[in-house]
Amino acid sequence: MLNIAQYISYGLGIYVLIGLVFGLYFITLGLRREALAGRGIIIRFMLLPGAILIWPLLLKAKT
Amino acid sequence: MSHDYVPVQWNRQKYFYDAILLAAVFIFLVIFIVAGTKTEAGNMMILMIRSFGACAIVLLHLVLAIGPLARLSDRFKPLLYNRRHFGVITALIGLVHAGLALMMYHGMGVINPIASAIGGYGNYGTLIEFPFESLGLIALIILLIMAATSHDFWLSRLSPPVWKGLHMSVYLAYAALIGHVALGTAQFDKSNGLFWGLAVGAVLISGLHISALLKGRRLDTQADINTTWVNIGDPMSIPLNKALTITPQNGERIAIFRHAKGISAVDAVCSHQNGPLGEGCIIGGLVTCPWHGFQFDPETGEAPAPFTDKVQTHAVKIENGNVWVNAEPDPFGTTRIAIQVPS
Ligand code: FES
Repeated sequence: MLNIAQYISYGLGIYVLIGLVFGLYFITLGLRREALAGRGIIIRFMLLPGAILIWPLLLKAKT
Repeated sequence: MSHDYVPVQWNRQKYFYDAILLAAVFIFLVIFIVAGTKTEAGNMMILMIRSFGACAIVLLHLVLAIGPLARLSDRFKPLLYNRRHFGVITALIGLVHAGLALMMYHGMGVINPIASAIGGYGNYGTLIEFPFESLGLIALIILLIMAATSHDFWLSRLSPPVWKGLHMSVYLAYAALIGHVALGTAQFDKSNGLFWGLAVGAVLISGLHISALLKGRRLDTQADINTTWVNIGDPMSIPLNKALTITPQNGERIAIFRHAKGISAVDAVCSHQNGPLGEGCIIGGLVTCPWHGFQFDPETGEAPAPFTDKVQTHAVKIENGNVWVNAEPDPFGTTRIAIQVPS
């Protein structure tokens, strides 16, 4: 059980790390293609936690 | 209020709401900790863990109660205005609880704290050794995702159906949290008070949701809903600038409004956060959602410029003095000129 728990915890860590890299990309370069382009830095940072947590959903191009 | 996101500004009412919420949270924590030191002379760290945990549970109950309460009585509608701030604070309080608990109970060993919490020492095969922390972690992850995506930008970015699906998982978080607390109490605390408190909370939340659902059904007109064209009856039975609603057999609720231009029908579910559009009214010629005030043209289902939100329209006709509505929605953006009511 301990092994599985460790794999899950590493999985969570890796997910969040990828999310952090993706999230930083999203709130800087990624938002250029969104309606939010040119908005302030505070709102971009408000969006960072969401981008970190749901990055797989954001990989899909905006339709 | 836009499909392409337009930021909503903070205003005095929002600051006021948040100030009251934060003050209430602070008072709750202080009372919990002070009462705890008086009754069991407990360890301060344990009291903090419990106080933040209890606060998160109470807040989650309130978050879940606000929606049905607002449907049952207009007096609760102001609480809906900023419900998402409630949710964000609930997730943050839960995060503090989890952080403190990980430090206290799992931070000193050789295994990493999360692995230790979700299975290091427990046994998923028995209730009495079940690692209840794993249920708390599931609830926390869901609450954090909801809090992080509560901003209107995400609603427009993900699309309302995806956003709604994501946010409906609050019920999964609630179930996981009930399991987390019930098992934790059974394993360590053994206090019946908390257990019964949870049971009463669960009954209240279910009762409120069922009552709100029944109210919605009661508001529906008693039309035969098994046909494509549904007979609503006398046009004058629809109150001026308000709607009658029906729930077709295989579809979303429909709101049939009578307004200055005639009779129009649109989906009764708001494209913002699924508010009950059929319980709204016509203001300035526009269907206005009772939850956060989004507006839609009753003839096109579209929000006024510069907003781009949409709901679907439905065809309406008057035959033999009765109003009929087509249960099949039109494609988004279809214009249906309001049907004049014969005088
Ligand atoms: S649900 Fe927010 S305006 Fe309708």
